[in-house]
Order: sequence, then structure tokens, then C-alpha cells
Amino acid sequence: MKADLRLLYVLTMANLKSRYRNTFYGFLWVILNPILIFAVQAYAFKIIFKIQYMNYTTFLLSGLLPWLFIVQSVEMCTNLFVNYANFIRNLPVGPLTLLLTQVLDNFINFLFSFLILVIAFFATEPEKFKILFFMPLPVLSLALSIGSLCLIFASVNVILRDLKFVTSFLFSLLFYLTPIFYPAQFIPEQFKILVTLNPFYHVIHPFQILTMSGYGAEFFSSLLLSYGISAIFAVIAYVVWNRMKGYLIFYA
Amino acid sequence: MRENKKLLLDIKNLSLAFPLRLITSSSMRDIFISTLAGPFSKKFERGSFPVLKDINLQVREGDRIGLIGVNGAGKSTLCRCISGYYQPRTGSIERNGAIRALFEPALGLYPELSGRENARILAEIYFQQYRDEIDEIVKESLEFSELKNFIDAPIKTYSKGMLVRLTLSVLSARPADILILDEVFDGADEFFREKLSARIKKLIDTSGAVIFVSHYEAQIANVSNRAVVMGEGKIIYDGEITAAYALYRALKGDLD
Repeated sequence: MKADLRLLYVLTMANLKSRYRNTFYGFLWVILNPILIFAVQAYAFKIIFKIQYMNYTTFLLSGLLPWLFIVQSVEMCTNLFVNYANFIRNLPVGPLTLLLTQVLDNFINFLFSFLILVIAFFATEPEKFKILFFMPLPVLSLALSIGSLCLIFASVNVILRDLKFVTSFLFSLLFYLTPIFYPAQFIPEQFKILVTLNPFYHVIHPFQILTMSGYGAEFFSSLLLSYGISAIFAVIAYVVWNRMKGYLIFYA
Repeated sequence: MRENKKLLLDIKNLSLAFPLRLITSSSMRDIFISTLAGPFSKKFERGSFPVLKDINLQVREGDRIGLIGVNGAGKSTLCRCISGYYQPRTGSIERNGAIRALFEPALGLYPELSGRENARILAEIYFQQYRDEIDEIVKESLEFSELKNFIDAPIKTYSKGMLVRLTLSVLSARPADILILDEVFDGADEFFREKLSARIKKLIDTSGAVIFVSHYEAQIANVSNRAVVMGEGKIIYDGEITAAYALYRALKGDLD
């Protein structure tokens, strides 16, 4: 167990170092991506489309960062077992360890980009800093969901090799269907079902509520729903993995 | 005499089959198209291709096994089962010691990272039982590899020969309880191969038991004290080296 944790640490550091090219500027490069996406969307929706909603930039950021964590993790993990076939076939490193390494790597990036949110937050509403203490709750649920999703997609992609294109296409559609750059309240009644059935919305929603209205009853009920969704993802991942793990190495 | 030595590896009735396609299509696009074209056509197919058939093998301390057989006989698959990378459905493998297996001598783990960093990662992966000596292992291996100025360059700039040097230098730094070397000399350049041979010979001498796969008779004869011949997923001979080669050549003659 201790040895596994150590290996996980070593491989995650190796991933991060590869990505950052061992420099601070490499790190900046990785963080620049969410900042730019955020800046362009804030410009498009706040300035051009003039969405009128409370503190719009904070709202956008609170949904966008978890969303990017989901999309980037799924994107990097779906083809992971195929990309790392060399590792899996030739080294005493299990596929699960590799997947966890990649998710952790993305998680660390997410936490750093989260710093942006914190700074934006303090700049606009310094009196609400207390809500930060509750942030780990939705973060944990989000991470559980993402880990499970990545395991599902990575396992299936070993057999259906074009899954990675399908997921990236679907996620680009889902971005518009998920209330991230618009609040759920804006959706007409007859289309609300699209949100109710969207599991990603339920995982992201607690971040938005916590940021916009603090830690009231609404936050905790959304949190409960979020953990429910994570648990469902985890169960599916467990079933898929058990079905696939014996075959994986032959295909990878 | 040999029977008194510690039993390091005990394989009983091991069989392994590779699954044929789980699903008849291999892409989402094919599934989409075939579902629309014929909604009730058969989507799943079961079946498998046997690769190892009823393998029984006991490896004791001091065994230096040369594993021989034509391509596709199941040598590497057996080694991967022993290493725990493949999980067989039938039979059992009992291991009484730490296994170190090398299948690919040109492992380029993290292309963006330097030779030094990759050496450390390899050492962390392979030398878990030498936890406190990792710094020393890395330092000594890098010296042995003679990669000099390239040590701090990203390994994506390395040639295959340089990768082999790096990987083998690290992997051969400490003995193992059970050592598996699957065609590890491929790709090392002439000069380095000699130097490396000496080091691997030492590694073999100090390790508990060794399974050595090679297509070169001289290499096998040089290090082994026992030969196992595989053919079509089965062990067809286990014993003395000269006799093993006579059988192997006869088999090959049949194939040709």
C-alpha cells in the first residue's frame, strides 16, 4: 500500500513535470488555457450579449472551472490505455495506477486554476471568503465523478477506438446544454428536463450555488444530489472495469 | 540436489486464451452504421484463441532457464503471466519472491523528461525492495550507461541504442529474486553490448532464479543451466540444453 502510494506520487510528479517542462513558465502555459477560455467567454456573454445576472464573472468562473476539469480529464484519459500500452504491457505498473496518475495530474491543475477563482472572489466580494471552507465538499464529489468517468471511457475506448472522438464531440455539445455560461433559471419551463437529466449539471451546480448564494439549505441539497450522481458513476465504472480488466491488456 | 533448493515459482496447469473481438465492430461508427443497416444483426461474438495450454513449471533457486521456441510459441506470454501482467483464467502461479521482468529494452517512459529523470522513475518502479538505495542506483547506472552529456537531455532526443543503454543500465543495477529477461540484447550497439553482457552476466549470477528468452543459441548456452522448449503454447521439453536445441532444430526443420 505504502509502495503503491509512493509510485503514484512518483508517476504523478513525472506527468506534471512533463507537462510543465520543468519550468514555472510551463506551469503558466497550462494555467493560461482556462484563463483565456474564461476571458473570451466573459467578453462574449457579458459585454456582447449583456447577460444580466448578479455577479456574472464569478458565476461563469464557478461553473467553467469544474467543467474544464471534467472535459480535460476525459480528453486526456479516454485514450490513456492505448497511449500507454507500452507501459501496461512492459512494466509492473497497473492500468488503474496510470489512470489515477493522470486524473491526479489534472486535479492539481484544476486546484491551481481554482486559485484564479479565489482571487477573483476576494477582489469582488471579500466579505464572502467563508464559503471557501465548504469548497472541498463539491470538489471531492467532482473528483469522484471524474475519476469514474475516465475509467469508464478509457476502458471502453480500448475496444471502441473512436470513442475519444465521440466523447470530445459530445462534450462540445454538452457545453451549450449545461448551464455554465447561463444560469439554469434562464431556461424556459418546457426545456428544464434537459437540465434535470444532465448529470454534469448536478455535479457542477453546488459550485455555482456556493459561490453565488453561500452555504444554505439549497447548497446542501444540491451537494447531496451531486454525491448521488458521483456514486452512480462510480458503480458504473466498477462494473465496466470488472468486465474489462481481464481483456484490457490483450487489446491495449 | 536441485530439489532441495527453495522453490521460487510454481506454475500449475496454466492456460491462457486471448479473447477474440468482444464486439464484432471495433468502432462507434461501425456500430452506428450496422445498427441502422440491420437492427437485429448479431452484435456480440464470443470466442478465444488459446496461447498457453496447460503449462506446468517449477523454478528453484539457482535455476538459469533458457526459454526457447519459434515466434508465437507463447514465450513472452508465459513470461508476462509469471510477471503478473496477464491474469490467467485457469491454473495457478505461486511466486515466492520479487519478480523483475524486462520485455522492452528501449522503454521511453516520459519523452519530455531527461535521461536522469527517467532513470529515477524506472528505479522507483523496479527497485521497490531497494527503497533506500535508489539515489545510489540511479547515480551508478547513469555512470555505467556512459551517456555523458545526454543524461540531462530529454529522452525524446535519444536514439534507440541510447534508450537501451539507459534502460538496461538501470534494470541491471541490482539482483532480483526472479529475473525475467526477454530478448533484452536487441538494439544495444556492438561496443556497449560487450560491456553490458558482463554486467548482465553478473546480474544473472547474483539473482535467485533467471528466465532468459533469446533467439541466439550462444547466449542461452552461455548463461543457462536448464532449457525449456515451447511450441504452440505448450512446454514440449524441459531439461538439458544440448538436447533442447536438438529438439528445437528438429521442430524448426518441420516448420521450414
